[in-house]
Amino acid sequence: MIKPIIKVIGHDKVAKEMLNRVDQKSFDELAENTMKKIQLDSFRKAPVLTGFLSSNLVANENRKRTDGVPLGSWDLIDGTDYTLVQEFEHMSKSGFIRTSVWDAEPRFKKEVKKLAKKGK
Amino acid sequence: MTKMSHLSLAYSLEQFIEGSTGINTFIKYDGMTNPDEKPFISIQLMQNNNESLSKQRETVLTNFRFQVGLFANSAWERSQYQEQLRDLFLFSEIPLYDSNGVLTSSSFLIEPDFNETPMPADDLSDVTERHRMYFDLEVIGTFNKK
Repeated sequence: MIKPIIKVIGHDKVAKEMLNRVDQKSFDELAENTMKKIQLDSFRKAPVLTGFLSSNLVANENRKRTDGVPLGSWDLIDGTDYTLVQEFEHMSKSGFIRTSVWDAEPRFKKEVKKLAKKGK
Repeated sequence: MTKMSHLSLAYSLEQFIEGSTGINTFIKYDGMTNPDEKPFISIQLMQNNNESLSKQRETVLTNFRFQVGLFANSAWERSQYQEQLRDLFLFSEIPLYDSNGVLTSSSFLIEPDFNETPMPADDLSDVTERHRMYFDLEVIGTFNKK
């Protein structure tokens, strides 16, 4: 089972240091929005035969909070048996999830920095 | 200082893996088929991402990415080679070749947070498909404007 995880680590600590100026919910929203972006991006890049794989990628039910983490961490669940194999071995479209994650990563880091600085 | 490129890093990896494990290693290209004899290792070039670190493009960071596939004869063999390769990728400084295949004095390291993904065989009649796994490697390089 392939499970990309997007999370903001240590926002509790940052929030305490900033005297609750930083709202934890905004970090959580940012993590969720980034995961949505990744879902949509991988949906666009995914190979289509029946559409089951790609529609599973973009489904809202497959975006879940990480077990045991109340805020700021989201998982994407593949939902089919063959997503993993296609992700690594499709002839022309392999890496459709990984490339979406790589594309979202630098922007996500920048946004986290911005949020922590502004305290909004 | 030699400039690293995607191909030169892949070639260095190929030489290094083949030299230290003795397994047949090759860089994957379009239209190539896997060899019949196992074990072998394939190196696939993946997407790179660039990021500007300082203003006016003075320093740019590049993530070079590779997918290394290991194809073995048995589950035992796969785990043995997997352990060897993991040690190599984690702790070795890999000598850098340039893209013409000439050894340089520089070396590089692989980012230590790579994934090891075993791949299930969906078609049991295909023997090549059994006992395989993939490493996701990443090498980070920074380049300066000259």
